[in-house]
Amino acid sequence: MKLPTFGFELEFDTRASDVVSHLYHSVRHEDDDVIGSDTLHSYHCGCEYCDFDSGYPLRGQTDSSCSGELISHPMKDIAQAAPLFEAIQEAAFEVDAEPGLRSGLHVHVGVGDIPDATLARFFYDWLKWEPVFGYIARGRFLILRDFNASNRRQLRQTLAYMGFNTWEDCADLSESDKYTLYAESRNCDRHALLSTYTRHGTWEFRIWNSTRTAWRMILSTQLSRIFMTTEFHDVLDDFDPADVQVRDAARDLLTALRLIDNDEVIVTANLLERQLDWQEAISDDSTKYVEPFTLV
Amino acid sequence: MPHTWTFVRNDTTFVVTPLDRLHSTPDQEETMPTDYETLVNQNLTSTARMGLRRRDIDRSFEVDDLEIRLSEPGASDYISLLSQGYSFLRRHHDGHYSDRTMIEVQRAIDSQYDDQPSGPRVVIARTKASVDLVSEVKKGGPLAAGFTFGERMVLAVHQAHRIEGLGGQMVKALRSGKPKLSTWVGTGNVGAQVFLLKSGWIITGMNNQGSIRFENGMGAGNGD
Repeated sequence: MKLPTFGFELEFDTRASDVVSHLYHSVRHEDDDVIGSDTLHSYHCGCEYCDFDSGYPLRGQTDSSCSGELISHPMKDIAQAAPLFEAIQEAAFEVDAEPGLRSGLHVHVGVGDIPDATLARFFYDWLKWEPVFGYIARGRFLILRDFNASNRRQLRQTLAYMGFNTWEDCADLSESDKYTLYAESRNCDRHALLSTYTRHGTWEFRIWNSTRTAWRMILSTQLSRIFMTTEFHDVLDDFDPADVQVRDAARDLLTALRLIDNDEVIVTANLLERQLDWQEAISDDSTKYVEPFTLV
Repeated sequence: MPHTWTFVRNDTTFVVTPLDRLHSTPDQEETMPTDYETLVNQNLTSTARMGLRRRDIDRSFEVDDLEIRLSEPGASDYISLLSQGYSFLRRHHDGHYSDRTMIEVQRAIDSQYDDQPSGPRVVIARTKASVDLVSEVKKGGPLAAGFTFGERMVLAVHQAHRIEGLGGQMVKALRSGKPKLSTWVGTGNVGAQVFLLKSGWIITGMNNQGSIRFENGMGAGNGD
């Protein structure tokens, strides 16, 4: 089982510029800078520090919806990303940069040479499991931020043309219909929970709420990557999220992960269990949820 | 419950106390050198003058487990403290320090990776920070940061912890072993003016951009 290449865009509601400054002045990764500049550059800046060939694994840029974002270079292995996540976590807590519901974590996963028919299958499963991923993606928050459009809603009209009034009506679509849905998703606005057409050869999982902890960054990244493997969808076929409440379906997804014999998947499953425990705890006892979450 | 304050200097625990809180003395206004009286009255805002007269205010310091840590180039914790101090100053100077000052600290941080690192004395006051990695809640952290470039002092205190005596402790730490400190304060920075005058600093000049130069260490009422 080989997980695909990936990259991430991590946004902060507040003090993204301070995170960038702290990373530049204080953090060395294997004796190298992790970021080439100590200020946020403009959105989609193409300067020498923001270029993919800059040699720096991170760059910081402004973003209209929040205080700014950290963007990584493409990576092949989570071992490359983990030290960066740790560094970002350290910087964010040090400078009191906070995630929030105006910001998100976007994980780009390389599509590579995955055949379109397989991608259509993945996308159909995404539509089936979208509410479950939406539940998990809340992170430390009580809700999923509402900035991104639901893929199900984006394709509502397409489903109607295909003769289905509700999502529940199309439980068993033909391969051809699945392909139609996938193809249509590539014509939809990219500000969706999952964007299937990014012009980078990736699927962009925009669903994740923002976070300032390394373990949630790893969880989001790895779940996005695992989703792009056939092995995962093979085990997922044995579960139907429509049958149960979303909270239970999330536990089913955890069970599905545990059926895969792979070290990275096992680690991800453990992180997912931690996340589900947290969500169930704050759901059952709201006093465990604290706002604001920087207290000096 | 007694407060626990620790003072660490260049990796060595220097004093474990509660440190004496810096109080203004009732006769402080009168001991101010008359040479500077006119200058003070001409250049301080009315709010600052009012602050000077509020002698009887006694705010006890409410933070427990405070550590004041001083470090100088060469100490093992120097780079860490310098970075912490810069991050803190960046967020809590309220626009009162110029870009030039901020760049001076940045350059000091970057020079730590040179062959011959140099930099200012740095003092950080912080409570023990705790982070819950599941709820992402952070409690505690730095409450004040100060630097001395030669005799010039740069100081910032957390917005939520001003007028608690913390600035006085920071100045004490920054000044230890130094005969004199000076600092520049903008005329709009009323809080700093009041703080410095109540601590016995004196005004020694102004520049043409509206900043007042204060000095500590020229005689009685110098904050000790």
